Amino acid sequence: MKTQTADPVSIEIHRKALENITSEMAIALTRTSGSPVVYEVQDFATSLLDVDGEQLAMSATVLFHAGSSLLGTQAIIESLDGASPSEGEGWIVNDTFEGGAQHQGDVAIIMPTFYQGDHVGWAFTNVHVLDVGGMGVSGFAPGAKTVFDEGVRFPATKIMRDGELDPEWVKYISANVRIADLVINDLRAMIAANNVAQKKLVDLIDRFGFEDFREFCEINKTLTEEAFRSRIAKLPDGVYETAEWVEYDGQRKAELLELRCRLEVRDTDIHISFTGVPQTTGFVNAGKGVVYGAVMCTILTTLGYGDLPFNAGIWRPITIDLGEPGTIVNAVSPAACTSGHANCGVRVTRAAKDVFDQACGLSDDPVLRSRVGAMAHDSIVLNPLAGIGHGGVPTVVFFMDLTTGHGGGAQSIFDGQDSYGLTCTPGVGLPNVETNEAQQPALYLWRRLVPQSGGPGTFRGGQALELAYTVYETDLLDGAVTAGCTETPARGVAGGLPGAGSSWSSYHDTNVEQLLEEGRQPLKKVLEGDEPTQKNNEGRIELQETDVIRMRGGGGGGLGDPLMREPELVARDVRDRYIDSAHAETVYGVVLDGDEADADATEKRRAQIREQRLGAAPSQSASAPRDVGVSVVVDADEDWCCAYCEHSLGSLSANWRDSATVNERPLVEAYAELDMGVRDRVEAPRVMLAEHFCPACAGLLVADLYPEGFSGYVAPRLGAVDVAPLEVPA
Amino acid sequence: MSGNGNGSSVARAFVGVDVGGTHTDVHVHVGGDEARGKALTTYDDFSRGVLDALEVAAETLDMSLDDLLSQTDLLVNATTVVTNAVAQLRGSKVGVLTTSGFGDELRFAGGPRLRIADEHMQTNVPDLVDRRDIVEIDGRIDYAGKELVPLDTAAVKEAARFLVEERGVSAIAICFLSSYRNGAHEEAAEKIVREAYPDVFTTPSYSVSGVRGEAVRWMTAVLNCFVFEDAGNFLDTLSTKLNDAGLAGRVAFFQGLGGGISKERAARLPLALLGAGPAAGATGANQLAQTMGHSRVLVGDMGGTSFDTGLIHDNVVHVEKSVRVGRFRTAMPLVDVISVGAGGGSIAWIGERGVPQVGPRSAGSQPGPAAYGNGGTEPTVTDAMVAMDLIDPENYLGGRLEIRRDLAIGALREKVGDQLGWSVEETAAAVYELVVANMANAVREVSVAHGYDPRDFVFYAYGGTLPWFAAEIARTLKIERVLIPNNSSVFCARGLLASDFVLRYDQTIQSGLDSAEALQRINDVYDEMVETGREEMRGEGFADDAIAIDRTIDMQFAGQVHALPIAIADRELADADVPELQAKFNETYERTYGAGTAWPGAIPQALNVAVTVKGQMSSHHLTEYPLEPSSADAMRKSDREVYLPSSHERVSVPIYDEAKFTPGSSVEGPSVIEAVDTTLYVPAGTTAERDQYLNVLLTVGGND
Repeated sequence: MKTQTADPVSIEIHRKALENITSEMAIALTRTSGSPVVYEVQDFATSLLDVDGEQLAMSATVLFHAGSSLLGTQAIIESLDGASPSEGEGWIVNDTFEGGAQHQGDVAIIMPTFYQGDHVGWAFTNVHVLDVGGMGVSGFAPGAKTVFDEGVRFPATKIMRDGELDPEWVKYISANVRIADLVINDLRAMIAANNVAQKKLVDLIDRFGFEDFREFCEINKTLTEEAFRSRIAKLPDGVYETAEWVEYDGQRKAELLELRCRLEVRDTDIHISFTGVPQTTGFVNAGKGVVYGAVMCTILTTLGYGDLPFNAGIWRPITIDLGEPGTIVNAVSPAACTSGHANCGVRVTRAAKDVFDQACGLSDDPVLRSRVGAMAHDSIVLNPLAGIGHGGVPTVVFFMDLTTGHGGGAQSIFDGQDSYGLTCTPGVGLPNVETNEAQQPALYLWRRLVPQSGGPGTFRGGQALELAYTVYETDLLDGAVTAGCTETPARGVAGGLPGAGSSWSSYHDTNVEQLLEEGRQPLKKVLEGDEPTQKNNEGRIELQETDVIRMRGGGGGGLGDPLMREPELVARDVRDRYIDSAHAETVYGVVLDGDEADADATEKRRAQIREQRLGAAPSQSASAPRDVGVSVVVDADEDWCCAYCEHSLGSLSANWRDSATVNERPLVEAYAELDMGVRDRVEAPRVMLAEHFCPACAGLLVADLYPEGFSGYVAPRLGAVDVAPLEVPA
Repeated sequence: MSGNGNGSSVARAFVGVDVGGTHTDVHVHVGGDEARGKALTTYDDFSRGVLDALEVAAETLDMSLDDLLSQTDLLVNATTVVTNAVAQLRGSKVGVLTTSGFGDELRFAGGPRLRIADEHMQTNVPDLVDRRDIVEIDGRIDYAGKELVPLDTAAVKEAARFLVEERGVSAIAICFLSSYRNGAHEEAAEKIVREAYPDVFTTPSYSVSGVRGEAVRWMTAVLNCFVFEDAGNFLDTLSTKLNDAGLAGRVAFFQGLGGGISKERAARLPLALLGAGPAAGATGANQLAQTMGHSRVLVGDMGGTSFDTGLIHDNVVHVEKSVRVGRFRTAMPLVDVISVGAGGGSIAWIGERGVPQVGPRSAGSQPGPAAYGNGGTEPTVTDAMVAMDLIDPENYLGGRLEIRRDLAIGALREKVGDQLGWSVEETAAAVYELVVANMANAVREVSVAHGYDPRDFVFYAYGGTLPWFAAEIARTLKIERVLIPNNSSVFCARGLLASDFVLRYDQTIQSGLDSAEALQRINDVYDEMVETGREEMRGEGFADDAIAIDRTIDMQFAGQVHALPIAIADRELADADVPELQAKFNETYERTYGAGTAWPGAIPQALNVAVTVKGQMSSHHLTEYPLEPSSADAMRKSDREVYLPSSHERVSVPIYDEAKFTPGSSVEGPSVIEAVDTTLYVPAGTTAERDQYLNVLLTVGGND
C-alpha cells in the first residue's frame, strides 16, 4: 500500500533496477567474450529500450552507442512494418547506412524482450568484434575505396530463431571473417548478455506490475528530459558555429575534409546542424548513427554531470540536421566507412565540444561556465595485423594501447587526464604489456609518456603515450596502419594551445637482433633501421621478424593562457619530466632555479613575452579571469570584452577576433619552437596556428587552428537569430 | 600454536580486537564465557583504546584487566591503519626500480579513465612515488621467462645509492616486466639493494603476486612499500604496549584474505592487512554458518558510513584476486566485499530531477546525524529512524548518547520533506526505503556477479545499524531467512577468533592440460608453492598435522583473459582428473554466465594456479544456552507508537527487551527488540526467534 506521494521513491528504485540490468548485461558479456577488445579495452555497450525503441538505460562504456542502439533498434522496428517480433528472434546489425552502426566492426545483436508472451521492448548489445572480413583486419580498411571493399555488412538482419543463432548464418559469417571462432563466440556472448536482460526484466516487471513498470519508464524519461532542459535554459539563446577537418591520405591525395557545425539554442531546445564536403573515396565517411553518437558523446561528457541519468529523455530537447546526403557527415552507399566513427565522428565530437564551450562560457550560471573544457585528442592510431602467433596458431594482432593512449582536454578545474582515450570511451583500460606479449608474437621495446604532448594552458592538456614493439618469434605480420590526427591536433580553449599530434613509423632491417645478442635493450636511442616516410593511412604494411612499429598518441588541448599557469605547477611538470625547461620558458614564461620556479625571472620573462605578443608594451595589465576557461565575456555595454583586463573587443554584432592582435603562422613552425610533435602537410593547404591576443593586455584570447585559406571562425550571435541553412564548404 | 589447551587450571583467554575508524571493539572468549567491549579508537596510541575496550570486557566477566591479560593465549587484531594510509595518501617515501623503457607505467596505472561520462571526474591516478625516484634499469625477460637482456647490476647498485643517499627513500619497490614468469632479475636486484642498504625496506613485485599483468603487480609492490612504515609502527607499538601491560600470549594480525598472520610476516607484507575488518566479519560468519548448517550465506555489515556485503558458498568465503583500493588496482587477494555508501550517517538529499536520494555522502561521526546535536544539519538515515520512533531517544547506545528528536525532524523537514510536500514521517519512510534499496542492490550485485540467486541464501546481518533494515532488505531480495548474530555490533571482533592463520600463493602458468609434460609442469609449480607455504607455516609454529592446503586452478577457454577458479583436491593432478576438471569448469562457467554460453568445441585450459595454506587453530565452540522460552509478555518492556516504513502507518507496537529474549522464545512483527547497542526492527509478517547460540533468526514473510 503506497501513498501517492511516495511514488518518487519507487520511481528511483525502478530506475536503478533498469541500470542494474544493463550492468549485469555488461558483466555477462565481458566475462564470456574471447576478445581482448571486450575484456581489456571494454569496447562494447549494452542498452535496454522500450517497445517503441526509446532508450530506458545504457551502460556507459562506449558513449557513441547511444546513437547506434537507438538507430539500430529503429531499423528493426521499421523493417517489421507494424508486425510484432516473436520470442527467440534476434537481429544482427552492423551497417552504418541502414542500421545506425558506428562502423562494420561494431556488431550489434538486438533481441526483443517479452513479458507473459507480450512484446515489451528490446535488449541491445554491441561488441567491436575482432574481424568482419574484407581487405582490412578488424574492420579497419584504410585502403578501401567503397563500402564493398570493407567486409560483410548487415542491415537489420534476422539471425536468430528459437533463441539460437541460425546455423546458416553462422556458416556464412565463418566463411567470410578471419578467426571465425572468436567472432562467433562474441555473437554468443552478446546473446548471453541479452538473455540476462530478458530474465531480469521479467523479475522487475513482476515486482512492479506491468502498468506501474510502463508508467515509471515514462516518468523517468520525463524527469531526465526536464532536468536536461533546465540546464539548456541556462545557456544563452543564440547561434554558435565552428569547423573541423578530417585528415585522410589513404588514396592519392592528402586531404583535409572540412565539416561545419552550428548549435542553435532557443529556450530549452537545442538544434545542431552539420554540413561537410562531399563524401570521399576513403574509409573516413560518417553515417547518421556516427554523427548522432558523436554529438551525444560531447553532450554527456560536458552536460551529463550529477543527477542526469541517461535515457530517451536526453534526446528530446535535441534536433540534429545532417544536411544534404552525400557529404562526409551524411554519407550514403557506396561510401567507405570502416573508420567513419574514428575519423569523421570524433571530429564531430570535437566540433560539438567547441560550440557547447562557446555557449557554456557565456552562461550566467557558474556551474555551466565551469563546464568549458578543451578538446581531447580524440583519435586513434591502430595497426591491426594478421599472421601466425604463439604455438603456430593464426592470430589477429589488434593492440588497443593507442585507442587509450591519448590526452584528455584540460578542464576548468584541473589538467587533462593522461592516457584518457577518446571522448566516447569512459572506462577504457590500457592493456598490459605482459598480456599483449603473452598473447601475441610481439616484444615491446618501450611504452612511455610523450614529453610536451599536453596542450599548454593555465590548465595543461592530458598527455599521450608512445610505444614500440618488434615482431617477435614469427616471420611476418601484415595488415594496415591508420592515424587520424597528425596535422590538426586537439584545439585548446580560452587561450589554451593545441596538444601535440599523433604519429607512427616503422623500422625495417633493424639492429634489434644484434642489440639483443649484445645483451642490450633496443631502446629508442640505439634502435637503427630504415624508417621510410609513410602515409598516415597505409592500407597495406608488412612487418618481418625484428621489424619495429612505433606508434605515438596525441595530447589534449590546453585551457586558458599558458602565461597564467601557476609557476609551481610548471616547475613540477619539469621535475616530473612532462616538459623540459626550454618548453617551460618558451610557452609558459617560467624560468627555473634548480627544481623551483624563479619568481622574479619568471615575472620578467612573462612581461617580455607579453611585449613580444603585441610588438609593444601592453597598455593594461592582465589578471586572472573570473572563469579560467572563459577569455571573452560580454560587458555592461553589451560589448565583447577581454576577460583578463576588461578591454572592449567591439560590438556584439561583430566578430571579436577582428579586434584582436593576431599572430598567424604555420603550426609546425610554432610547435618546432615548443618541441611539440605535429606532422607537416605534404601538400597544400598548410595548417595555421593563429594566436589572438587582447590588444591592451596581451592576454591570449584564443589559439585558432585551421588550414590556410579557411574563411575564419565566427563569434557567437546572441539572442533570437534567424540563420540560413549551412552551406556545403567549398 | 596448533593446540590452545595448556593443562593449567586457569581458563585460557582468546581475544579478538577490531580497531575501527571510530570504535575499537573486542570480543573475549574465556573458558565457556564470552564478553564484548567497546571503546573509542585512540589515534595517538591505538593500544590505549584496545586496553579500554578490554577493561570493559573484563568487567563483564568479573575479572581484572591484569588477570585477563595474563590469561590470554592469543590476541588477534584487525586494523584499518593500512586502509587509512592508502585512502589518505600518507605513506613512506618510496623509490622504484623498473625496466628501461617502461618508467611511466605507474602513471598510466592500467588506464586512469573512470567509467563515468562526467569530464570533471576524470582525474589522473595520484602519484604515490615522486617521479624523480623512478629509475629505469636495463634487463629484459620475455613472455616465456627467457632472459633476452641481462640485468645491469652496476646500474642497480648506482640507482640504490642515488635513491637512498641522494633522494632519501626508505623503501624500494622492484618492478620488472615478466617477473611473474621469471623473478630472477627482481630477486638479484633486491639482493644488491639489501646488501648495500640492509635497513631499506624492499618489495620485488614477484613476491606480492605471480600473476600476469604489470599494472596491478607493480602498483601492489609500490603500495606495499608505501604503507610499510605506518603498518610497522602500528605492529610494533601495539605488540610492545600490550606486552608491557601484561599480555601473556602472542599477538597475531588479521589479513584481508581472511586469516591471521604473525607480526613478522605482516611487517614484510603489510598490504595484506588491507580490508581486515570486513574479512573478519565474513570469516566469523562462515564459522557460525558451519555451526548452523548453512552452506550458502550472504553477509551484510552496516556501520556509520558504509554497508559491506560478501558471499559464502559451500562454506567458502569468496576471495577476489584483484581488488581495487580507491583509485589503485592491486593484485591483493582479499575477501570479496562490495562496499556502498549506505550507513547510519548517510545523508538524504534531493537531486536535480526532484527525486530523493540517500548517500553516498555521510555525516560521519563528526558532525554526525542531526539528532546527535553536534551541529549536523543534514538529515541522515539515523535521523529517519529517530523520526519514525524506531529508535528510543532515551535509550540510544544504552543512553550514552543524547538524541535530539527535534533536530532530526527539523533536518528531514527542511532539506527533503518541505520541498516534496511530504510529512516528516513520509520523508523518513522514503529515506528508509531508499537506503534499503541501495543495500539490496549491493547484495544482489555480489550474488549475481558470481551467477547466484540471492533467494538461495541465508542473510547474515551484523553491525550496529543493520538490524533496523535486515528484514526489509531480505524481503526486497525474496530471501526468507535472516540471521542476526549475538553481539551483532562487535561481530567483526568475534570473527577474528574464528580465524586460522593463512597464506596464499598465486602463479600464472597458462597451459593446456592435454599432455603429461603440461601436467608435470603444473604439478611442479604446485609442489613448490605448497612446500614454501608449509615451510612458512612451520615457521609460524604450526605442526604438520595442523597445516591444511587448498588448491585452486583458474580455468578459461583459450583466448580469454578472465578465468574462473575451480577448487581441486590437495594432491598431484593426474591425467584421469582432467575430464572431470574440464566438466566442472564448463558447469561453473554456465552457472556464472548462463546456459549455452560455454564455447562449443573449445578445450578449457589453465591460466593460474593458487595455493592457500592454512595453519589451523582449534576452534572455540559457540556457547550453547538451554532453551527456556519466555512468553511475549515477560519480554515486553513497553508499547510505543512507531511509524512503520513498510505500510506507511503509525501504530502502537510492542517493544521487547533483548536481555529477556531467552533462547527458544519468539515474537511476531510488527515489533521492536531493543538491546543496549542495537535495535532490531521486526516488520509485520516476520517472526523473530532466539536460538541456543543467542542468534536471532528472522523468518521473513511477505514474499510471494
